[in-house]
Amino acid sequence: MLVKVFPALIRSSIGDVPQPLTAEQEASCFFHPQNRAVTPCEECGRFLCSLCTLEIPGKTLCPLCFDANLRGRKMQNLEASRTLHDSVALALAILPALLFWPVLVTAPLTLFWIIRHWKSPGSILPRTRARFYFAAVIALSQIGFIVVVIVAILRVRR
Amino acid sequence: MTGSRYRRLTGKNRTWTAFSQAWLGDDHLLIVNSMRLIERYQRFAFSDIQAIVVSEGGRRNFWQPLLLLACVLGVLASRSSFGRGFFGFIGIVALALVILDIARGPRCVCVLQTAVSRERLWAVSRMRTARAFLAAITPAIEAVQGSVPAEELAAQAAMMPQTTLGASTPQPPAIERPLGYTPEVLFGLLMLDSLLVFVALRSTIGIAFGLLPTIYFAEFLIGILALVQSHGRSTTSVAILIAAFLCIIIDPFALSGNAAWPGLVAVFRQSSSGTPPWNLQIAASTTAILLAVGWRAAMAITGLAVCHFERTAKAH
Repeated sequence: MLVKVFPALIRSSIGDVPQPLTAEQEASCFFHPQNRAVTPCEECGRFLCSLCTLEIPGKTLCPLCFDANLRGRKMQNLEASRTLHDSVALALAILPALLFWPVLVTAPLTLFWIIRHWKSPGSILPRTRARFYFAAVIALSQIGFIVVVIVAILRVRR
Repeated sequence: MTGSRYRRLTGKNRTWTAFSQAWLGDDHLLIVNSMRLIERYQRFAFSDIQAIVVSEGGRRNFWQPLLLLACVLGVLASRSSFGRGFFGFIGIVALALVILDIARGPRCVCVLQTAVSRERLWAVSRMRTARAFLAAITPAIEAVQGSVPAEELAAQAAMMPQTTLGASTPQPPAIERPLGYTPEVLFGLLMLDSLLVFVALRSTIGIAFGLLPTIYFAEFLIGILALVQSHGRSTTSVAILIAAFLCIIIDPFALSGNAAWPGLVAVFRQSSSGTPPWNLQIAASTTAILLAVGWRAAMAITGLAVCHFERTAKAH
């Protein structure tokens, strides 16, 4: 067994406990009216108790503004998940080809997906655009094949 | 390649559908759990990490030796040369996997502890990886927290009073997650498919067997996706989703499938004796067509209505 212990172990394990209001004139928390406000949210201005205060680098936010910022991709360093659009494009180009018919729809859809998400943020880790290129080549090949089949059918009918 | 401030700490610990990997950031440890199309991130600030515990043992792969055993039995029991070759090849692959598993060294369980959580690090699954991981991350954490001998830390930790959050501690405001649109997509697809199934069952065998498997596959795939993402939805919409999924599973065998399979059998019988009759009209009964089309249309209308009312109620 390997155990590595760090000095954070002997720090207080629980954050600040919110203080209750002691006088009527005191400002109260927007979310907890019984708690004393300690700081305002820097985006919406709501008064916050220590329980609702979220200190992120360079800002103090309330939970709702924090969530709104995350969804609006304004805090990329704190994002909890990302869609890998290049992998989606590659899957869209390859998987439907197993059943052939869906390619009629998915090949153009793959190209649309590549164009639509070429500049969308991908993984936060190092990653090339190779999947986008592969997906584009496969989708273009599928479209070319479909065109050839249609032309061949039309010629046979004439 | 996109610019990145992360340095890789471990390789990818893979499962059938996903993998986990650890990366070193400027001031935090990043755990990436990838499900191929989506990556989920967990960040642990160096200043918050209290301890990392690695113990030998953990999950073992039973399927590799089992597969090997099955292949040996297969080779012994098989009488044809093709069978022996097939089982022999699979057996060699299974044997190679077992040898590779042993060569990678003993498995381990790695747990990272902070003041408020104890997180299993799936990315660290071998003792060899764990040693390299600890060697890389320890200087980074100590650069932030400083270095204190383990014995001194243990003595101070033993003297600390145990504090826990009281039951009456108020909770931060709840944040509601928006509902996804996968059920609507499924019910929309069922509506479209009711038309396509009608066309397939009223047309020739060739068209039906091009169309029906695609319909089944798409419904099954989106059905699973809708069920997986049904967390947080109302009981009614989950019930409709389950009912729709049951119908999706039954349909290829009992309803539209039952109407189409006799045609397929006829094709195979005919193909062994001459030209397959792909242009033959499918002899589906009106009842079978009505049932196959009817359940899709009924589920689609009910499902879309339930989703609409659920969304409206949530908005209010």
